[in-house]
Amino acid sequence: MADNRTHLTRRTAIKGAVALLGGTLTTAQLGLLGNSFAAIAEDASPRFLCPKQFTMLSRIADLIIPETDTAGALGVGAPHFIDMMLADWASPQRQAEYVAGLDSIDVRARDAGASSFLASTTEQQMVLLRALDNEFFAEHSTDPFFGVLKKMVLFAYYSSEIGATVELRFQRIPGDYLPCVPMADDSHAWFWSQYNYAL
Amino acid sequence: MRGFGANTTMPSEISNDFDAIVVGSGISGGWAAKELTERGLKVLLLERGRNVTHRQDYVTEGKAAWEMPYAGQIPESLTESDYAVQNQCYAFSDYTKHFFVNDRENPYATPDNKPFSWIRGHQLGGRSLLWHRHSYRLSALDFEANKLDGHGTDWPIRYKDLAPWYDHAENFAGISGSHEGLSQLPDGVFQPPFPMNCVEKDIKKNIEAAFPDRKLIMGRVAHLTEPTKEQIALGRSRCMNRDECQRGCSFGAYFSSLSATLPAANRTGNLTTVTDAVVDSVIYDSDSNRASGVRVVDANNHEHRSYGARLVFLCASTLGTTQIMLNSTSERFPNGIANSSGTLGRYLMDHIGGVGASGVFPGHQDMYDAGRRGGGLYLPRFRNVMDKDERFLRGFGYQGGAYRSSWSRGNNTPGIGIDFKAALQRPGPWTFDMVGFGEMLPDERNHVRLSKKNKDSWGMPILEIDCEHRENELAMFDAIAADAEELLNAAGLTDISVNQDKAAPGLMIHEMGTARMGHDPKTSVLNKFNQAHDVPNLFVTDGSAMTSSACQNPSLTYMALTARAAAAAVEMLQEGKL
Ligand SMILES: Cc1cc2nc3c(=O)[nH]c(=O)nc-3n(C[C@H](O)[C@H](O)[C@H](O)COP(=O)(O)OP(=O)(O)OC[C@H]3O[C@@H](n4cnc5c(N)ncnc54)[C@H](O)[C@@H]3O)c2cc1C
Ligand code: SF4
Repeated sequence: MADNRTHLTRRTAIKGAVALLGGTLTTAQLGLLGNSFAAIAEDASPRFLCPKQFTMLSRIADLIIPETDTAGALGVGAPHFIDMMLADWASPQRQAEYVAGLDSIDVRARDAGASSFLASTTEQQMVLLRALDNEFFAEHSTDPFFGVLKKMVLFAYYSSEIGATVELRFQRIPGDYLPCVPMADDSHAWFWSQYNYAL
Repeated sequence: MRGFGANTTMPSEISNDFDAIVVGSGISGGWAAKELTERGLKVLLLERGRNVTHRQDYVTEGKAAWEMPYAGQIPESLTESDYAVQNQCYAFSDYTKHFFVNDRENPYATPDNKPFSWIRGHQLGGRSLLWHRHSYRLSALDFEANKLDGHGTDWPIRYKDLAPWYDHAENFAGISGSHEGLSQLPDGVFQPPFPMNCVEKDIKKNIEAAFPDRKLIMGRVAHLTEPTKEQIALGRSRCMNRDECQRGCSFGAYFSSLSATLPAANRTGNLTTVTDAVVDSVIYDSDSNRASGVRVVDANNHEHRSYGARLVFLCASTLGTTQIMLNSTSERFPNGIANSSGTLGRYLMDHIGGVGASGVFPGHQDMYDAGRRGGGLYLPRFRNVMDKDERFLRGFGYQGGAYRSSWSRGNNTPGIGIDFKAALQRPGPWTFDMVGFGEMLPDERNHVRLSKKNKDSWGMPILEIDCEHRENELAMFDAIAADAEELLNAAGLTDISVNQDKAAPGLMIHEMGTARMGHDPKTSVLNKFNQAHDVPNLFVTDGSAMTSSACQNPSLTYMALTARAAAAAVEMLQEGKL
């Protein structure tokens, strides 16, 4: 497969480069190792969202990126990551947007006849989320929250180690640029580290 | 490894015995230090920012998103409070923010309705760490442009004066690119170009068939693809196609002061580097009519001191240098050193850009690329080359490239659930986009001056920047958009969308022109050797020297001008003329 070739050239290229530099680079400097982002324990209680909203967030994340033959949003710990982002990264306006936004989803579930979003059936939840998604992409959309939330879930999932390296493909040091590689039916997309992927 | 870093010396250990002072360690200052030390001069390099040690201080290099706090995002409140301007730059992120200035600590002023985005990097290496490495020569056409249409003043040099210095700069820096034989974009000394992917090759074929006067070429970028012996000896090696260059590159594969010029200057044994030294002004000695040295404010404890030398090179970036010069007042020069013409601070230019187009390429769905190429394509100027365009003067080029989008297209695609996830696991359609880079006319009204009210925390009057796009630029923006659409149609793309968002002045990060070169001391600051008309031992070789902007990315020209000026200065020094 094309990947093997990439891998081989890359290994030789890096070895060659290190030799050129007189072997002065340590593995860490080559960026082969990094400080792993401290994993948040699965059962830790949320730091920003209240337990009910956290459960809602988990459910929504699970429906947007479910587990299939690969892990889904829950499997990579997306809800805890997002809660951490809300606690430490988000501005006060952003925090308020999430609290109000999750509430409004609950209101929509009740408008549809359920006692709450979480009490709805999976099917009802999917119908509601699809409606919110369609509304977000409709021409005169007024409520951006579902778009914001979906973006965050995608970011949490694909920026995780499993998302980038198992669901997608990731090369830390490609070595070569191969301009035209025939693609197999099951070729996964590369994870790209965009310059400034703004949430 | 240490040997590649700067020999940073404590201020107290420094004697006053220097042949030359170079202010600023970015692209221009690095070159000045290299060329002057290699000619035997004892050089003091002064840099306002902190020391950065090549490799050791590239703290985010190679890190994946999940190894970064917040997966690479900067806390929103911090962006707002400290990086409101820098955040407008595409390369600004949590991986790179330590190489950008803090806007709160580095204020400047603009009129309410005229934004100017001043993107800066204050550290050893300046913005050479951050640049995108596109490197193009100006052409004969560019050096004659002012004279021909009467805007700005005539360049005191022509292409042939700079050509050997372009050779010299390319040879040392290492530029990869293709030979094309275009009069408006002269060829140079190139390492092999990066390859185009199959979509880019098709688009090239389609565009060139439809428009015989237009060419789509591989970008000429300062990445080593076949390092020379000299580059290898400096600890540099070939590019590994990561496209994470702005975090710093331990391979030394892209040109920066830290990978190239400063190691070269250090190995002469003639360089002393002092960081955290904010140059406040140039000291003028009226008896000898010479610059006798510079005044410095310590960046950390704000103490004042001064250094003397026989020669002063200002390379603090266009606006940094201009600020220092305007702040260097004396009886002879009440409005800034070497400013008898009154042109210092005027004729500010940037490139115009932001506007462009993108579309989807229908073919090659079974092909993908691998590796992250650090440079894209270039479509050189074609307007006002052979024919005269009635709508605007001068010209523009485009940068662009073809790629298959990845997961982030999910943000703009309806869908959730199993099918959505499965679709995002595959690469998206081939997308091609291009964005214009246009020439801005030199206009006296676009200017900077020192604030009479506000000083920064180092006691320097802050800059007031007053710059806007005018009639010619606005007409050119329209042509950039229309031509982009026409080109992408001819290229065979579908779903073409035109981006009309004009980048604010400054945001193309090619600010220049505020201490221009010219023949006449009455209408320009510098002569044909970047030497101040008024003060013979004062040289200015960064972008402030530019008499016109052309439309090519300018840094290669700063390198060539700097090397040429350094050679001339040393010759004059040896002949006793300084
Ligand atoms: C994201 C990005 C992409 C770019 N892409 C390209 C490109 O593709 N091609 C291209 O040609 N150009 C590009 N540029 C522009 C390029 O970086 C600049 O043209 C170039 O760095 C200018 O070199 P310089 O030495 O004049 O200034 P700088 O590199 O900015 O260096 C100036 C140095 O002077 C120091 N300094 C300033 N004031 C003082 C003072 N008072 N006392 C002491 N020191 C001082 C600064 O701290 C800095 O280190 C890009 C820039 C950025 C940010
Ligand atoms: S793309 Fe090349 S120059 Fe850029 S960081 Fe990677 S190896 Fe270095």
